[in-house]
Amino acid sequence: MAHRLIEEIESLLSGVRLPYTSASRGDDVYEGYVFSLVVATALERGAGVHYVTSTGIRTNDLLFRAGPGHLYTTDREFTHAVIKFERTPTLEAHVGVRVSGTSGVLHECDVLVLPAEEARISRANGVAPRGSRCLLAIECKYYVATRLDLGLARNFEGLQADLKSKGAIFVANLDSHSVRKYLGSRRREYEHNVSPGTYEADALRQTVRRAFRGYVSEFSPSTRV
Amino acid sequence: VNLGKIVSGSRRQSGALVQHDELVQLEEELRRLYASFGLDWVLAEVDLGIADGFQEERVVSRRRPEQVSERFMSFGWPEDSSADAPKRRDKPVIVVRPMTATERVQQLLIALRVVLVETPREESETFENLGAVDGGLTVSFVEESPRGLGEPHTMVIRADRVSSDLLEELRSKLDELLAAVND
Repeated sequence: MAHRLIEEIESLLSGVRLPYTSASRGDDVYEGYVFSLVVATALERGAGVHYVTSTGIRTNDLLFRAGPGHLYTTDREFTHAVIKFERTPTLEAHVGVRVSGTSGVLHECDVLVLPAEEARISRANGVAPRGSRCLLAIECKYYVATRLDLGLARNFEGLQADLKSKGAIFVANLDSHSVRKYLGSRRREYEHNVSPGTYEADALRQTVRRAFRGYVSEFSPSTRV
Repeated sequence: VNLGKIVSGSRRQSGALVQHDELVQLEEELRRLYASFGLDWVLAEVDLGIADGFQEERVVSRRRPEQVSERFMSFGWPEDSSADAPKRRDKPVIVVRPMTATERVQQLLIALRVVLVETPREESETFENLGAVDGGLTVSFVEESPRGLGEPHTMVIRADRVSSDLLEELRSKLDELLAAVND
């Protein structure tokens, strides 16, 4: 049976050309996917969403950084989402930008949601946004094999401690005993096995929703998110 | 490798689920499949995972040997709190051991499912999630500061990377294989 199944898989694959020639391609896909979960949650909870370039032009051609960069650079027209809940200051969602910790050290953030005002300050002054002002700072880990080593969790722990952001979340497409145990014992937000159709993907969206709800309730307690 | 026969045959004879030799043969076939479809980089990642070993939880008793019964030396004690139940200091710890042949084959199959099924699905769902805004979107990634002199790394996300029917067929066959190995 196994031999037959492998032959059938080979036959199915004969017409498929996948562009994933290294793990970094998968990283890009995964960050885009997690970003889209944030956007989808905002839309579902009643926000208006549109996309703009780094110079503020509306676009439907979304261009994201492969690898972290600075939110304020305008060399390329990188895109971010503008998220607007009723009677609430506007938010922005970015992919692959650096944020500043309380120590002044810069940290990479795979998916970042922050108030548009904080992003404006970043652009106006050419400085990284402050992590403590961010609503969501999501660390995305894409792996093809279950080897989420503890170093990743330790890095995330350090990042969260320095950012002082309540919205720091560790998200991975696979599971790891040690990472789960390490982050769980420190009561850090994490979700493993986040991929289409999984319970954990829904759980992540609930966490994102809670972050939006907390933000909106500060300004407009009557608005339901 | 006829895993169906191996599974039922081995159950009848020795209680073992899948014979080691057949698993080794299955592993070789999967490795050949990786190589023939240009998935060597995936195989390299899997091999790193295999080299890392398998993580599992175990209770290590801090008490003297006469104070603890043997059955609580491994993780998974009964719900009732008898006098023998582990104390707070007998916390489970994570230990790492070499992977068995079954676990190696599982790793190879899981990695195939990630690359062949889940990653294309993530591309497709990204468009569903983002496209709800206006439709007609394009999504791509590009290196801001390319290393070296070559072209910057770019990745264009596509909603139709692999047809949903083909994805479902691949997922079903990989899950069937995993179930046979897990049995």
